[in-house]
Amino acid sequence: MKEAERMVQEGYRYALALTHNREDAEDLVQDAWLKLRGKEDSLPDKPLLFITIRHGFIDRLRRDNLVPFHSMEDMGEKASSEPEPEGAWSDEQWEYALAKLRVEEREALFLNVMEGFTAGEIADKTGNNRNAVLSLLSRGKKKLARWLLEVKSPGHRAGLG
Amino acid sequence: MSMGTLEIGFKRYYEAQSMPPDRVSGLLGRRNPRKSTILLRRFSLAAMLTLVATCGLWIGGKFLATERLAGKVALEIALNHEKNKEVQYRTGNYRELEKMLDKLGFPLRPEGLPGLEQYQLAGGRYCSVDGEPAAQIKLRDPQSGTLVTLYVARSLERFARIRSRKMDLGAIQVRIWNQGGRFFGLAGEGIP
Repeated sequence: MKEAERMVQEGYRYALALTHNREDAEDLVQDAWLKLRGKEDSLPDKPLLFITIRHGFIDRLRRDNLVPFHSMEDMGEKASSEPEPEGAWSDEQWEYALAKLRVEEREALFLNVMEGFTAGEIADKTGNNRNAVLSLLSRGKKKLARWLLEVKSPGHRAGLG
Repeated sequence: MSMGTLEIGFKRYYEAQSMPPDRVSGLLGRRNPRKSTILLRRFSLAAMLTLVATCGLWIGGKFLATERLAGKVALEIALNHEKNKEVQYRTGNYRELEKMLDKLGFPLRPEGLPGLEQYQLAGGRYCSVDGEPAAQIKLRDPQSGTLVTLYVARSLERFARIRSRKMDLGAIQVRIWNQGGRFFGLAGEGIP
């Protein structure tokens, strides 16, 4: 049971990286888990769980005719020259900054930072090419840095939604 | 900002995120007999086999395929009702709900089931039935106050072949029918 709980939570975190919405992430994990557990008596393996979650996410985007929003920040980022902020960021501030990333950037960062996959491995998993993944990782990190600096600036008030 | 600091913060943020314990328990506890996925599947299979046996008029690939689809759809509807998802749009007005779920492009008010017109609309959300875009609508029984779940989809050819019926799947009843170019599925306890 512990192993199953751990796997569900890991699947949830991946789903959260894709959706950036807690309820949607819970639904994705539940659907994927029920789909996989219905077929096999044994615990599903993690790669298969992640693939099923990813497919469920893509299906929902297609069903809802959603087009991922590409913010104007994508049009040529500049290197940040602001001083490094000190201290940690709150969950709210992280959520604000993560919301600024494209789904593909968040996913690439998640698979790299949380799961330890290389750009080549992420490319295999997501159907991208390696250079595209490297670009996603680089741009994702720059964006995060920029928005985390922004959220620390005086007068900024981060919030969900 | 060093990339190490960013990655540490990123990791810390996601490691702190977790699915609510009651939802995890519900998910992992679905192997238990009470309202479990397996129990619902068994009832659906039994209901489907009973229908096939008692009807038993002609053995044709299309007939069996339609009966399999009916069982599968009824089970999907029952399982989704059990999930008890929050409505995406709260309203008591069907026209308003149709505007909110405008990607579906068909009327949502149910037809063809006497007694259902008394139920009060509580809201709805997008969903799917057998992969087809649908509306999941919550209706409140004015007598008991309990919520039932109505699914509305286009009456595609494969749905249109499904005969109207009511099934018992564990504690949940499911009724499926076609009317006015739409396919309806109603799930809950004590449904008309």
